[in-house]
Amino acid sequence: MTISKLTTRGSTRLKEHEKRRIVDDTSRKRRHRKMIESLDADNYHEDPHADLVMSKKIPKFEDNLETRTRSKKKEKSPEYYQMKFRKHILQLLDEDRVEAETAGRYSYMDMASEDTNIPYRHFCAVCGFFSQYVCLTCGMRYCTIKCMDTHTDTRCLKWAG
Amino acid sequence: MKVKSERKRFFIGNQIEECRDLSGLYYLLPCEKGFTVKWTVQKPVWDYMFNNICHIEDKAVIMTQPLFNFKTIQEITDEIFFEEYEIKSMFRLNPCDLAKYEYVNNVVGKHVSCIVVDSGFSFTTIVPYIGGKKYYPAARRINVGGKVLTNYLKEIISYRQLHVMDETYVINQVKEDSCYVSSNFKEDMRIASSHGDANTIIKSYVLPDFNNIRRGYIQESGTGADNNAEGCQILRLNNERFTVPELLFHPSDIGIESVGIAECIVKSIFLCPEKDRPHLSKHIVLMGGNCKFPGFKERVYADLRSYLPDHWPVNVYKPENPITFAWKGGKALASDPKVKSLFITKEQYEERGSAYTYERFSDWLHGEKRTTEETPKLTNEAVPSSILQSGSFTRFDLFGKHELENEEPSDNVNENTSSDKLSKEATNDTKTDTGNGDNLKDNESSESRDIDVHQDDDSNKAKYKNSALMDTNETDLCDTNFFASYDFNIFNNSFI
Repeated sequence: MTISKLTTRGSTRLKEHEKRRIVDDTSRKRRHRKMIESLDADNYHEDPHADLVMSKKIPKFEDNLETRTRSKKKEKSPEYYQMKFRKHILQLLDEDRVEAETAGRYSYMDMASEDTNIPYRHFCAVCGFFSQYVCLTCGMRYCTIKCMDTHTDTRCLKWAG
Repeated sequence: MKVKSERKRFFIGNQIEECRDLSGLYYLLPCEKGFTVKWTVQKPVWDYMFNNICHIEDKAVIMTQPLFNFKTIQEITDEIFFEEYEIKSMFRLNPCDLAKYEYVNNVVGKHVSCIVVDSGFSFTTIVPYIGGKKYYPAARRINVGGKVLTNYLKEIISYRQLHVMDETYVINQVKEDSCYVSSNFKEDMRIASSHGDANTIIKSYVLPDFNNIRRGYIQESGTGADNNAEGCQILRLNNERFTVPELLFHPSDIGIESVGIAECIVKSIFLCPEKDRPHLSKHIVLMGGNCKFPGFKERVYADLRSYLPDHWPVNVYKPENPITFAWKGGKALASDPKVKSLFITKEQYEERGSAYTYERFSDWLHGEKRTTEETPKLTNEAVPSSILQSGSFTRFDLFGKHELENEEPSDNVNENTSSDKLSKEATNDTKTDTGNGDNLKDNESSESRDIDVHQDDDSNKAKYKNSALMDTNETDLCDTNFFASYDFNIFNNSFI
């Protein structure tokens, strides 16, 4: 009995406030980085059917398509080249950068553009119009109370993970 | 690029036409950041191209590659083309070079300094050419391209309306069909936020259902009821229409720490030697699929005009088809008799290996950071006025084949953006080509067309679509097309 009384007492406003978790700066940055990465994704998918074993009944389209003119001897499978390659793009970029530094030449990295001098504009994360307000919890923007409600119901903290 | 749908079947380029249900479509791209990395994807595309559409054995090939293409990538390319496809000779260069070549020779008609802005799938690159050579110190890349725009549009539509995160293909079409570059952003924002008839920006976009509607379209007002009755899915596009392309000019809107296109051009101009600056501002060439957004050119011009001193003339040139512009340059280049010296033949490759081709085709290797070498070259260059004057050409011309290392002038910057675009472009243009190739060429053109079906279809409405698709495809297909078309040209014109 006494315990439950205790819990019911006190300001609800304060309790609400305590519940609200304020996302710190690092995780805000992390969220932002994740968002940029997702935007920059190449839409490349691993082939979901790669391990699918085709039954013989299904016609194999590849065979019909190809009319080979070259001798088979010269043909090498794509896997051969992939095996030979076997590097990730970031790895390549890194190697190139190091090499460029030693050679004193320009490289991919040197071409990256600088940050802008113009102040950033801010947009409502919900409707896309100019926004004036910031979500206290996660730092995203919204423009009206309506958008704020939508935001807290849906997106708030979504990328904070 | 590859498109793959539900089953274990790839659709390469124009084969997409045979695909019934485009909704489950996803891409298999051989490229990442404009560089070919997935050879398992790239190789079948080339195979398809060169087996079915055009044959390149014993022909000369011009191929585009991104700026700073990596050694390993080039090695494999060499191997595939020289050893497997048995081409006669090859020349690789950056799409911007081709665009510049085309611009200088066929648009302006005389030798000028210019800035090429290539806004592609993965990024936008800005390369100034001074005295015919790439000026590396001022070359810049903005990591915003058609890909980011499509992904962004996909994201906001998924959040605000329908879940479309898996419908890259469709959303790309939406982007091409409905987006435009705003020339007065604040005003458009105000209009978009108004209600009723005052809002002239809001549009309904009917999504394709792949039974009756193969491609989505913007619904004209008044016909709405009918389509609704048919149960079509409709997107309401409001400020999305211009805030999405706006990212090109203000990447900071979504927190990408980078300058926008116009700003970047200005910075690039100011990184160049002072005497060249007004000349550069007079010759700004836009290319790449993103330039197809309505209002793009006007916006670039307006922004530049306000940034640059008013006594400098500002002139922005947008080719009729920004996507195929570089391809055209390649076509012109192929028929230029002087180009012959740029090629590396199969014999040379066999004798000296891949390292040799790497040196020849990677002009950035020879650019010291800010060097003194350029000036003498410039004078020499007057000779091949028409040809790319990005050092490589002249070097070869002047010095013959083998002495490359020392001679290469410092400044060529290759753009990373994407060979892809070019290749696509190539395909489109092939149709229009006349003459030289005779049968071969004709075949090629038709084929390339087929491959590019996306583009062709798109071209009606296409703004962006091309860029995105192209990029993806481009590396694969474009290159191939490109090659092929060139081959023929070259073959016919100069090599026999």
